[in-house]
Amino acid sequence: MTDQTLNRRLTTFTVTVYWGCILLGLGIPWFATITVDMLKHDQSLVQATHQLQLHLFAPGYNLFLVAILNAVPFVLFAVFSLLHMGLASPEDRRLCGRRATGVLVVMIGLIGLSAWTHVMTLWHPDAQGALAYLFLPVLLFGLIPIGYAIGRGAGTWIFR
Amino acid sequence: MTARQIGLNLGLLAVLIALLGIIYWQHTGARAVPELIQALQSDDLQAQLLAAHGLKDIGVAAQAAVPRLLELATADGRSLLHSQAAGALPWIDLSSARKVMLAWLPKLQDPDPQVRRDAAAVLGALGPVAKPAVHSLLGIVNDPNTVVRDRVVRALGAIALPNELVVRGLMQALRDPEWTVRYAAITQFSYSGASSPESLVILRELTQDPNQTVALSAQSAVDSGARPISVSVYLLTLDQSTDRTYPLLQLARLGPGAAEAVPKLSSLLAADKPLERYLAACALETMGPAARDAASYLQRSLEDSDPIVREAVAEALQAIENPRSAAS
Repeated sequence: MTDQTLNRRLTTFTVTVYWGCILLGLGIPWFATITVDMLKHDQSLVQATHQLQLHLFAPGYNLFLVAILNAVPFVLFAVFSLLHMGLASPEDRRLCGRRATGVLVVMIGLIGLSAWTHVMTLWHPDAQGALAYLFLPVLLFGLIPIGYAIGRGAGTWIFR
Repeated sequence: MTARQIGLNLGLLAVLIALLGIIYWQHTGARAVPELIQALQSDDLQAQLLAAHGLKDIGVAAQAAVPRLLELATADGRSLLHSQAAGALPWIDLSSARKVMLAWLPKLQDPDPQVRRDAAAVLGALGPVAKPAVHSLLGIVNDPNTVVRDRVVRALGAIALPNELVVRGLMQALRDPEWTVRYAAITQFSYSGASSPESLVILRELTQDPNQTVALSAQSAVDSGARPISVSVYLLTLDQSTDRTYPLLQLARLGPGAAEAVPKLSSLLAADKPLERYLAACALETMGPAARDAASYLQRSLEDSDPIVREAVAEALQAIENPRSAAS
């Protein structure tokens, strides 16, 4: 594989992780709302999307703000991954592989935890359920270094 | 990646953040009113209910929505929408809220219990602004229909003023043969701190009610009656909370016992929100001569821009200067 191909693949990977994190951070709460409306409340996709639209800025729901709150750790991690991967030297394949593994593990962890929390909060509604939306970003922030350490460790083992 | 590519991606993120900020800005505050009015005009009940709630949160800046809200609160239609539209009006325009009250008051005597039930629910949704409706509500506190009595009790609790009359009605409801009505009446005492010695006697009896739900909630009401919230707590809430209507209403219910709140209430006669000015005047009225220090502030408020506030201010002045005639 030529250096140019490697460079291009690394750039594609970095940009995909970067925008994937940002858009999923924003979209997960909305996807969760639509999914729960469809699966639990037997609504069609059109109905569920209409419900989402109605509640985006509605007092007491504010699904727009919920998405923004959820996206904050995703955006910060996206910027980190852009600089971390983007500034890595493509020639050093071992380093790039280790970093990529770390970044991927964090991304999967963030998506998994966020999606699970949102779906569970909507599936089992509770008077204090909205607190989950406040605590979730804190948990996601905490997950970033832990996930990266695990991923980087795995990467070190894979790319020896 | 080159520095340029990294910079481009960061720049695009900045554009996305700005775009989201603009979208949020456009959909909140007074800017959201045209869209909410449009939602009120739709046939989608849920959209209408959410729009009415949204307009209530916007408050005075949602003046443009008043005609539509007034129409929805008074025209034939869904009862849920009547209450939601009526509930938004006191936060936007007190006079329109009173118009809704006047439209629904005669319906308390309607032969159809469903109409009487809806009328009580709408009057309750108006809250303390529907104070003049309390006498009429008391007239049907013994309505033959259980649901009507339940709505009347809840409406009395929501209107809350004048406290003595409301408590009298609620005490009657504490003796209601139907447990749901007794329960509704008890809950008004559980969270308001409006218990009188007479009501506490009945509440204590109700702790032995054969219905467990009633007995437990009566115990809770007795407990909260034994530990009334002090005026200083309400004053603190007035300073720290963005919604001052609850502490103002509680101070109004305390009457002369809340005399230490007079300076704060006097300053709130100049509040931005008409509902707050109205409640401050109501609270001063219930204090009577104990609120004498507020007289000069009240005199100034006789020129208030809102006619309902002016009316409440005049009543407060009368209660301070001539308590006997005000009481009659």
